[in-house]
Amino acid sequence: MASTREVMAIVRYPGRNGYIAEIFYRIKEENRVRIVTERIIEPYEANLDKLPLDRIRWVKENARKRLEQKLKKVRKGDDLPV
Amino acid sequence: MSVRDLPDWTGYSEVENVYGDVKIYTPSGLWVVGSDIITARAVSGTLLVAGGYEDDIFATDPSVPTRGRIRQIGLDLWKFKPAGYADAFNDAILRIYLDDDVDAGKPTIEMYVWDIDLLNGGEIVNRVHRQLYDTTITVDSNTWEVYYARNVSQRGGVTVAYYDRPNLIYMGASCWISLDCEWLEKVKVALYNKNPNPDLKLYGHAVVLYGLYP
Repeated sequence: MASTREVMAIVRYPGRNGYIAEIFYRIKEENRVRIVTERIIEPYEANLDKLPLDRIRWVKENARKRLEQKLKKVRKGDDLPV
Repeated sequence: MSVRDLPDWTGYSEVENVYGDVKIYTPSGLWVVGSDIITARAVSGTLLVAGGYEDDIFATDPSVPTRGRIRQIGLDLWKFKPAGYADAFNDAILRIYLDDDVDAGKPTIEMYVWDIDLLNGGEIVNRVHRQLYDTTITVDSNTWEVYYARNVSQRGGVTVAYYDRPNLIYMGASCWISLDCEWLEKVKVALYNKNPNPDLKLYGHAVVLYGLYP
């Protein structure tokens, strides 16, 4: 059965334990469409709630940058789930 | 009956597979949208916003255009030390950037926590003016007044607030708002700290209930 898979949306947000990206894939099979979600969590280097306040922004920003590197593959289509 | 068997009332009978929305103009004049959104959510971790800065709560990737709707946002701002913080009512601004405004860096919607309280008739602010607090709490020898909303609007409001009377500052606020605003390509939700002093921070957590169109 012929099917196509496309990235429908990528959302990003700072979660409790890491910076999170949720990738929504739209899979079309003949005249059916279904949606698959994949979640990538890039962990923070430390528990944010236990960090001094001036470190929280820095730790979050670092995690977001690492997450962006992983998302580059997704945008190119290298890392699609089966 | 297949799509091809339909009589061509509209001139659109060539359409076989529709993955976007189907809008139907009803006799009442209302548009009906033929698909609903997939509800998802985003839980933010610890927010920490210095004066004059903003912190992201939720964003879509601008390189992948997508369409969706923000249903609701919940926000909890609080402080665990008596000093070094901005006002949780009058400095905290919820910013929503929709579509082109994301790139322009110009918020489409800005709501102070003070505004969100107004959705509920400004109950907390009014009671603070008249010192009609529910109870008090003492943190590091500082006593703050605690206000619980007696009624909350169906669209949002401030549910709890902590007020430091000697320093005339809101030390914390919990609130939520139903926005139901749509984006057609991209969106960003952030918390902005309006205080001009970068040493005065806002601290807390947020959740965004959003949905994507299939």
